[in-house]
Amino acid sequence: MTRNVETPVGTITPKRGAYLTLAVIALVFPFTAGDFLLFLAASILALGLYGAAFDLLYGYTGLLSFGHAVFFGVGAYAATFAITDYGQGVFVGLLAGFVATALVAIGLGLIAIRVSSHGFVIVTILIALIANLAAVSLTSITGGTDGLSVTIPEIALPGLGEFSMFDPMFRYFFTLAVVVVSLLVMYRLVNSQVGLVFRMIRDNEQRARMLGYNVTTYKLIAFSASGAFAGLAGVLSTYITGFVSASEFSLIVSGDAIIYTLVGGRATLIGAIFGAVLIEGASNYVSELTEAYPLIIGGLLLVVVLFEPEGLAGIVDRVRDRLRDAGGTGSDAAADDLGAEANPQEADR
Amino acid sequence: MGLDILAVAFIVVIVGGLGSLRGVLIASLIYALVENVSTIVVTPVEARILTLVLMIAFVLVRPDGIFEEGAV
Repeated sequence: MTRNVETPVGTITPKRGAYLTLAVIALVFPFTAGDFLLFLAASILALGLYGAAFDLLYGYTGLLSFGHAVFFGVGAYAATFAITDYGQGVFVGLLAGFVATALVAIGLGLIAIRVSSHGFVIVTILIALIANLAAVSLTSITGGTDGLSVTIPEIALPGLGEFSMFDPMFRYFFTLAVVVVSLLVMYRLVNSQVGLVFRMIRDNEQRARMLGYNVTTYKLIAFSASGAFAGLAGVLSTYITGFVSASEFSLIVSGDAIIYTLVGGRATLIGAIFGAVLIEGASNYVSELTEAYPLIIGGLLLVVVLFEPEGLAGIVDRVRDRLRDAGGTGSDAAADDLGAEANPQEADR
Repeated sequence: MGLDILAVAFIVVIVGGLGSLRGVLIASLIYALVENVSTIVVTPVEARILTLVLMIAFVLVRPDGIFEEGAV
């Protein structure tokens, strides 16, 4: 028995089918949604990218960083300064955010990676607290918690004309494009040789060191790549809201990345996007009903973590296994397993 | 109180050394004294930053706690 579907353009395996469905939803949904929903969807996508960037570090290298708010904030401010102070365009802003955060991440990584496990967690918390205090108090530069508003310049796409970030539809698709490209780059990274070393460090750092890998360098690569993409997410969130403030640096923002990753599923990258959709979507709808919405969101988090410790992506795996046991001959099992990298069950041990 | 007090507690426990009561006691005294006494010379925010930087230095130099006697 096979669940593959033959089409003129290629074979659709269940895995490809799932991605195809997601792509169709992402492309069709905006035409059915209102302006606010488009704004919400774009913000969720940016936060999802932020979660996925965190997952690149935590899921694949096993380093629990509480300092990702720093990268989110640095990215947001780098783009803001590139646009307001240097009169650059949107794409230069993205690049500035990406490069600035990568550099900051390398610098901070050189401090934080020297210590292991608890030390790393605490050093990243300390760095996040320091950055937050500095950003809040340097009101002349950052605008403090009152923030700065940014006028995002129009984008001229060759052959397509001028677009403005104030157009909700364009804003959504711009965010979607950046997020998809970033996810593809991150997938490429974690499925490369370097990504294999990341996973080896997570599973057995001692062994990686014994085999002659320079663990510190690989951790630094993971840390800076993760930071750079988190910075990109910060840039996107600034573009979406047209606003940036020192509260981007607060410790709770670091917590958000951890929540998205854990709810969505560790070491899956795309899981963090599902996590962001669930948490942010739920808090948007529940906050319309009651003021005490954090209570309900907290309950939701507890339920997910208690009943599905592998996150939402774990549910997908479980359903797939159930289907396979029920009747599949496992003809495409090998193909699926190649793609389903780092099965979380074996990853955590 | 929120996240602030939680973060401070966590910092003090790690700097003092997990499982080392003596270390945590000393670390909490250092943390609180440095932060409050230094406000004589610098602004409160700078005092906070100074304390946190000092804690980073502690973790880097003594990752296993002040007395290096932690259970972990």
